[in-house]
Amino acid sequence: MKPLAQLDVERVQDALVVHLEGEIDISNAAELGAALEAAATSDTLGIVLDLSHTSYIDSAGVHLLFRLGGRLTRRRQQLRIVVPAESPIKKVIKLTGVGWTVPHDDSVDEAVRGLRAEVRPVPGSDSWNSDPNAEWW
Amino acid sequence: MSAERKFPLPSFGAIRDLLRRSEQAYDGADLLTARKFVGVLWAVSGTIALGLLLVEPPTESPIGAAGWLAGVAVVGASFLGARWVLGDAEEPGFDGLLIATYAGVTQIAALEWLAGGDSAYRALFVLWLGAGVGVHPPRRGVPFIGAVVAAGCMPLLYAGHETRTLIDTVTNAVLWVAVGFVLLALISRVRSQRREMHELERDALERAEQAVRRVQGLEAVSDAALAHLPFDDLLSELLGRITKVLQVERAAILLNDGDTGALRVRAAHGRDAEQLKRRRVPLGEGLAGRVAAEKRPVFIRAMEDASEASPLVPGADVSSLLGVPLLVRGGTVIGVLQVASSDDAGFSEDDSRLLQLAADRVAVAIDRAQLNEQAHRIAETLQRSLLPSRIPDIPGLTLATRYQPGAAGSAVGGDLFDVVEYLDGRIGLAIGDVVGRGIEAASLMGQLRNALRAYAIEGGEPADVVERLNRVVGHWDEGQIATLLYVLVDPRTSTLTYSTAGHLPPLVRGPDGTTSFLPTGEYVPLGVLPFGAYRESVVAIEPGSTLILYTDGLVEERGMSVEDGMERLSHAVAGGPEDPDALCDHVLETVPSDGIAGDDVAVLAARLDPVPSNKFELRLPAEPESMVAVRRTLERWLDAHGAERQVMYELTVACGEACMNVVEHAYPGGDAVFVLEATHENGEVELVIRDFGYWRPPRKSDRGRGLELMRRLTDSAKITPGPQGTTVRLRRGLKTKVTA
Repeated sequence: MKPLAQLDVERVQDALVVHLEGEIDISNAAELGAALEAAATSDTLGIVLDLSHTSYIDSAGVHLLFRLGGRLTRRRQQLRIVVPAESPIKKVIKLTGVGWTVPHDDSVDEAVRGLRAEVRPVPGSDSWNSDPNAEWW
Repeated sequence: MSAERKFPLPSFGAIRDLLRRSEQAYDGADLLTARKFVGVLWAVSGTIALGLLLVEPPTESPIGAAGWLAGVAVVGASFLGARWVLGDAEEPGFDGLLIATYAGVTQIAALEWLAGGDSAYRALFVLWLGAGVGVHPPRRGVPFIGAVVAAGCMPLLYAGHETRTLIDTVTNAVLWVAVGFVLLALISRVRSQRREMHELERDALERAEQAVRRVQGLEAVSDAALAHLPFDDLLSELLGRITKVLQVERAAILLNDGDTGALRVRAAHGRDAEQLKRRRVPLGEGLAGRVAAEKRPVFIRAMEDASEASPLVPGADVSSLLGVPLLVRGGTVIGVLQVASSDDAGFSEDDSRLLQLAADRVAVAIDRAQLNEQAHRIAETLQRSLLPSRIPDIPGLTLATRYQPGAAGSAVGGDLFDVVEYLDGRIGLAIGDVVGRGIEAASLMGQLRNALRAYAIEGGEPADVVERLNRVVGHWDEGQIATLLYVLVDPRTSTLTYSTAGHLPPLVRGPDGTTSFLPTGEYVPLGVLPFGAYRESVVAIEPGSTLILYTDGLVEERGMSVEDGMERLSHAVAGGPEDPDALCDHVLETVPSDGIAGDDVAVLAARLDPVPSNKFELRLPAEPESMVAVRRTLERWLDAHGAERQVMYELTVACGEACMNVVEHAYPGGDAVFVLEATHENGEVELVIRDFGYWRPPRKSDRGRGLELMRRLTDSAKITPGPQGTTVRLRRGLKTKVTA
């Protein structure tokens, strides 16, 4: 059986950008969720999930996004999705209200910027998260 | 050789031998010479008698003047006798000549009587005495001498008893007896020598014949041409030759049977050969067992019950056996070669040496064949392991593939084919042939297939994939080349995008049965040029068309042009069955002219299933994997009915949600099915999803989302639970936009 979807992971500064190409349905949603969760190691701010080349997503995929978003939030990380305006799946994202809990952007650049802006507690201070030995206070 | 043998003195023993009754009375005699001798003697005797008639007129007998008449008659009879003996008409044998000599003596006696018993005729008696003794076998020579002496003494009866006549006659008689016996002894000596010479000659001839047979035997078993025969043919041919050379009725080769050590008949020739096939001889039993155990030839001759000596031969007509071991390097016995004959004489050392020679030959051939078989098996296993073990089920495209290794004995080729599914729903079909054979070719083929998969997974377009594979082959050390054809099928749009590297063109059969080869342009095989500048072509084919990819083994045959083969392929496909699986079988059976291709053959048939018309029904197992099939089929159908991308997606999601509910709640056991019915009428699509279980109300808010999606993405969604199952009916206009 060929894989329905393929994950392409890249690191953009302290964000993890994951391009998801293919389709998400009930047969692979759980698997993708586990893979994404594992990819979001603690040294990243979170995941930018690029759905620009995702051709199919249904409620199983939406469920995955909610679940992943919740998990990352509990780990003080964030999930942002990229769904270009012209993408056919935009409708499902909108209808299911994913946007209420998972921020979505039109492009990867925007999403990375958004991620860095939101997670970083002190805007403008680059040293906060870039020093791995820094204390939490 | 002793002097005695050279100059034998007559002895009583010799004389007794002369007189002994013998089966071959005339052995050593020369009939032709005897006949000439007697004939000439008749003539000479007649001539002399004619002269004597004048010197001694035949008028002194009691018949008086009539003696002349009788004399002339007797002389005439002489000449007639000569003619009879010498002439071709009768060709008298020894018995005839015997009578002729007695007649000759009688004739002289008669002439002498006519002449009144004159001694002038005695010279003629001596003449006939010599002739008679020469012609008769020794035993009959004695009475003949007696007859001559008696005839010589006749004048005593009618010409008076004068003392002088008496003394002359007796002296003559003694002389004749002496001369007769000396001649007899001499002639019998000559005859026995001739007999010995004949025997020696026969022996020499026999030995020469044996030598020739042996040389022929050596030639027969060491014939270099045998080396090219396939293993089993070699064995039966060798056995055939051995039976001919050794003049035996049966021959068999028994080989060690792996672990058990028992001997198994591998090849047999001659009588009962068929019954012997695959028979087993337990270890250590019979002749073969002894040969194997002792590692040396074993002879059995003139035995009474052959079945005791070897369980392989029915006792009835076998009395001699010979077995030699089949030895390979290191002196290991791998089997036994044995022959059986009904001749009591048994086999000679020569026979054994010849048989051993044949056995050595067989042993070498077996050794080599086993190595070859092993290499062949490795290459074949390697190749099979490199071909896809399973062809994926792809909605909209029915696939069948066949790989058929070449004829037995030939090396494994490097045919490859593969099916790659792209994420966007397109399907890559590859077929290729690595030039060359054996493990080398098979391993490059494996490399190619891996590389092809890697590039295809990245979504490579055909020309790009082929170009990159060209570099893969170019980097291969062995300087090998390969042909490749890569076709990307888009079932949604019914288009083929393909690129070829020196491979034979694909064949397409339209829904109406017409066939045509796709133009491929001229591109070199992979590995020939560093940059092949491969291009791709795009063609649209009608849904319902079948695409045939094949390797040259299918259409290339010795003594035939490829064009002929392609013509036959085109014909076979045009008249072949609709189902790709059956079509592959049909093609493999009918295209190679003798029904068996000599080379490896790979065939791939792909039918672009006809797009369902206004209505279609899909019946699938209720499992997550079925979701893809539902989407692909629906997408293709919606595309064909003019749905836009967005509408297509939304309907697919709605349908997917309905199906997912079935799948998620399918009763355990795994054999549950669900049915999707799609109808398109006047721009409106109706999808009916039916299952045969109970509809479950949404349990959690998450799953409620599916129901919500179904409603929001369609114009209407109706769920009708029932005792026999649940029906979900979705309707949506193709042009309408549902509100978000």
